[in-house]
Amino acid sequence: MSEEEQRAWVEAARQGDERAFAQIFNHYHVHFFHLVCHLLGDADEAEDVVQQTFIKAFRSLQHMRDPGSLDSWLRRILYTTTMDVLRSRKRRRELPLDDKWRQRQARAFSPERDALLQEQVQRVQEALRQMPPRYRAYIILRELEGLTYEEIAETLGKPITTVRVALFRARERLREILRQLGEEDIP
Amino acid sequence: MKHEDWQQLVSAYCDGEVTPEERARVEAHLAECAECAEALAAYRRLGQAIRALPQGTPSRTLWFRIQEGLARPARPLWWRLLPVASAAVVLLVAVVAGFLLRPPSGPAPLQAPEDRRSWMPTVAMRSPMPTAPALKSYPGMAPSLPSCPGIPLALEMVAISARDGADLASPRLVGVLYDGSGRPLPDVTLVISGTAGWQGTATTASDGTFSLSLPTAGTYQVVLALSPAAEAAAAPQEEMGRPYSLTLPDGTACQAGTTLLLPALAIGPRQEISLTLRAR
Repeated sequence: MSEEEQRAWVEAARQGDERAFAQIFNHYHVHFFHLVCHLLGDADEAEDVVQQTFIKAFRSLQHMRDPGSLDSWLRRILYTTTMDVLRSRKRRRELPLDDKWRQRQARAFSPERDALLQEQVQRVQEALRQMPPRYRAYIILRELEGLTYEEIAETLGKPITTVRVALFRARERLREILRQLGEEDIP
Repeated sequence: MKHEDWQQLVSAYCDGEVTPEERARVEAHLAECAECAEALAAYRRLGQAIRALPQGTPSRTLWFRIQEGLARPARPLWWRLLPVASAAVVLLVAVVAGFLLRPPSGPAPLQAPEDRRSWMPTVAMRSPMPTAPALKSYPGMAPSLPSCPGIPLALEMVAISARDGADLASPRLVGVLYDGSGRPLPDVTLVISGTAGWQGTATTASDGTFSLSLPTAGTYQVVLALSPAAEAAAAPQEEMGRPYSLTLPDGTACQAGTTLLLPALAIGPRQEISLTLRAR
């Protein structure tokens, strides 16, 4: 989405245009849900995070400095909200990968996808789950979201040099976990 | 250059995040270093595996929950900090009270445990938390209504946005209209109107299905115009002066022909809205 479109949506939403709110939601929510699902491993919590993100964002649209940066602004709110959940979860305990999410994902398999592929997917999910959340965020933002280093830096509030190093370490950590899970590497 | 530095560079190379000079250096190194070449291949495979992870679907009610949240007044900062502040005040009171009511110094007279408890301050840690308001109903919104036997008429609406929900330029509203016995109802006209005077009609086919292209995602009004033939065809037909009423989940009864306000359509790749018509 172009900067101009983002600006137009924000301006319309600021004027109270409900359709603009719906369009912003429509454009981002599925993507955000996937991202948070992978970060938290829990579909219900992921929905709560997406819900909170949009509520926070829509409430503070008036205070947004640059309407053309809706994309990164929303991502920052999403990430901060996700991290809040992770922190509060850490205070309780790290939850296992949500069963409902597993089921939802299992349904996403087409019949053609065979058991081997499912097995690989489960291994990767398990490896991601075992990763420290901060590393998981770098990997997900890069590989799933396809963000550039600059965008990741902006989202996470880190310097680009940190992104570069963290991504390398995250990848190596993921390989290591996969090896511990009995895989030499991803086949 | 240390081996780890090379691998770090390889990782950035894998992401296309290197300068032209770094690219040349990495490519020359990769030709010589089997370990780094293997790392690059592994990073690529990892990326592919992560991108291939199946994705779940957010629930259909997410948008309504957001609207619900927005309808609630935002709590100011002081309110959000109230639990912390009240806990701090209680703690302060407890400390001060503990200090003021402490037993005099020197050898304390022997006291029974009960007596000792009597001068200790009691601390109530409950902070005032407001109760959440009751859920508001949305006209026309009836997600996942269970199918009830004996309901004379049921309208199933499925609004489908364009492929994968990515292109919302031409959403479609499709659905099936049934009678209470589960038979599809043909020849029922639905008048659907949107903003800026846009209006379209759809008539159910012999299998009860209807389909209509909408100009854009948004909120639409649907008027069910049941033809006499359709009313006559719908079963059961007894006890009907005005034969049908539409009951929304909040208990609101609407008659056939009533204008329904559908929520914003095309939320996500597939949106289902089920409405049920009941005999009055």
